[in-house]
Amino acid sequence: MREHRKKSRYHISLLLVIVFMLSLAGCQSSGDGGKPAAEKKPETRIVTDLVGNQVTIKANVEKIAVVPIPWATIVYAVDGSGKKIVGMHPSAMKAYQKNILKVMAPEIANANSTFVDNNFNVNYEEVAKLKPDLVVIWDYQPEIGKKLAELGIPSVAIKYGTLEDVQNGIKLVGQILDQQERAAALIKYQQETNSYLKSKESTLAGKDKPKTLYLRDEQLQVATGQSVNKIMINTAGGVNVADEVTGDSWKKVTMEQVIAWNPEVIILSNFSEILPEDLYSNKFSGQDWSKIEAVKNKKVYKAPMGIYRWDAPCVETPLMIKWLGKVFHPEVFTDYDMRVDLKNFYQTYFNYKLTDPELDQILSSKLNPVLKI
Amino acid sequence: MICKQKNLKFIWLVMLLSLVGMFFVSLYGGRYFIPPGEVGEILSARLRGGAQDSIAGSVVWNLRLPRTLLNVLVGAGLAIAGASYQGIFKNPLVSPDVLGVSSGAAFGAAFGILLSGVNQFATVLALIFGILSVFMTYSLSKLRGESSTLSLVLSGMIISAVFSALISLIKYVADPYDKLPAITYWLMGSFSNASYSNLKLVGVPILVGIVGLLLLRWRINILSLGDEEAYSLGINPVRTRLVIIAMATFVTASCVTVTGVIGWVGLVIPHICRMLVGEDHKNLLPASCIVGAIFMIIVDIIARSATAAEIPIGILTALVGAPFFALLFKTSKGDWQ
Repeated sequence: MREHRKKSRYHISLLLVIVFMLSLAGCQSSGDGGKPAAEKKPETRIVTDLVGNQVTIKANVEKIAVVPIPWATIVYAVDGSGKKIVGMHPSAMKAYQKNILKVMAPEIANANSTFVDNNFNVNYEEVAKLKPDLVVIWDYQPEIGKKLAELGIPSVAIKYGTLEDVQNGIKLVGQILDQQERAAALIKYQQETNSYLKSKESTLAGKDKPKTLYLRDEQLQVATGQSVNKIMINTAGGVNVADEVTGDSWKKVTMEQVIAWNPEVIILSNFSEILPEDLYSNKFSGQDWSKIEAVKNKKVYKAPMGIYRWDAPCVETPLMIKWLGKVFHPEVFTDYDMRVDLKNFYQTYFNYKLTDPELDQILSSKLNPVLKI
Repeated sequence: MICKQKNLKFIWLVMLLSLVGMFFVSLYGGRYFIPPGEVGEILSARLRGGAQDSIAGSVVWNLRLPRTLLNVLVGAGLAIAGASYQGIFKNPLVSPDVLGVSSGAAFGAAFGILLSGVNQFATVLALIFGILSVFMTYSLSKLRGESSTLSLVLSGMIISAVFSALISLIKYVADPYDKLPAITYWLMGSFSNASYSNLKLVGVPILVGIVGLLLLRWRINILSLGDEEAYSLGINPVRTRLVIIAMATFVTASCVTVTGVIGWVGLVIPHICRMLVGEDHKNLLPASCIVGAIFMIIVDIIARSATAAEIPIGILTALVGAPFFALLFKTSKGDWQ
């Protein structure tokens, strides 16, 4: 018995020694990559991020890692290329894998999507290995910014929420990439859309505003009164039925509450695989959609997805609002041709010529056969 | 404790009436307003076979009724399982999760959601892993060559810890937009996917388990006297204990399977019932069923009606259960062996 115990103790210590040596070796290999950075001091400049921090960045930013999910595509849009994106969120990567951006910017496929995890925890060693010139983070992540600063990596914070936040973010990315003109053009497009929608305001005022439910998934998470989707719906001439729900952008509600709201239009997000057909066929356990106005009249639509999900604020948000306008009030937006506008948008800002099948893919046309957009 | 027979009868009557009363309150109340008279009409029309094809009819018949029935089943199931566990282990702090059932089932469901979303597959996986975890707990306790209560409880802790870690792992790798919210909601418990098909799926196992435990409740009394007494009365305590644990586990796993993790019910309700009807398991088990059902209906009414957003029921049961337990802890210090 004692003999046996001695032996196992010997084995354990041997194992420990091996583990220790292996971990030393691991440090070695990741350590020697870091030296040459100090050799020559690169030129720098200063930008002010959206929380007001003065951040010193390299004059010529070549490598960007992006933590916020929709912002990798904003960097792409502003730069007109994905070459500088070295890291992005795993969920952004997942969206990329299944949308048109994969065709437009194959270079992004090489970006690292493990430096940040699903819960927005940053793996600092992985970042150190990536050696980005800059990391884009959320405004509520100052600790991450601090830690990155200790590694000598600057970070800029962007804000989430309103469409102004998006425009300010685009402007900031423009400064960082020295692409002020492209950024200004993207913002100008947003503003032009605003004035176009303003011009429709008086016509829309006399119309019935369809009661709209923006449904995220089969868990009955809906866009609340605090969501950007509410702003999109209102601007396009609709009413968000879930305005009374607050506290977060998305909240889970009960089926009974949905029935009490009785929405006339339902928009399904691209955050989940939920389809109009699921509601028409009453597929989900514990839910009864058959009496809902939108379902009875077949007015359940899948939201489009361009280079990113249109459900979240992104460069394509103006297009999303106009799409919603077409959904709510086709008779008011007769002068607007979604397909032409979308083609021009992709040509102008991404230098990409959309084919008709690609257009249909973006607009989820197959899933929304009644829309005829 | 000398329980006055008359008093006891009165208590039974009150409990049964409250159950029936709450059942109807649950059918009448909710976010969608229906005039009380109409609810009655809908119910009587449906029971006579005529289906009213109205919104109110759909709310009452397709949403509130299956949900309330599931409240009753799960409330009764978790409470009676808790009372049985406490009787078997002679320990008032034991609850159905102690043998790893909840965490095993939770892992199964989380894994199922990760693989294929919220559907029957996840439900079945939850059931399988719930039962598997107890089997693992039992086998682990056997490794020590004895089947004492302590070794069972300790093994349960080990198995629970492993499954909790695996749940964390799944949450860690799950897509934050798609799968993670579903898993998180499930782990907090909800009756939101109550439907007749779900009732069919778990109703039979829960009912069979409850009836089985009710039939065996005399033996729990005998077991609580000690193993030697049991032998002298012609009962094999080890085997009886196993059968009762298996049934209670099966009930718990079936409950957790459709509603997610709902804590505290199995722990607190038996204690309330002990105050109402005494220690005798002959009374304690049926009382736990009734009070558990009442409690679950009330809490779920709050969960689905208090705000436009649904409040996860596990949060409510913990918020109600924990302070209540603290109160019990303070007032009845001498009673627990």
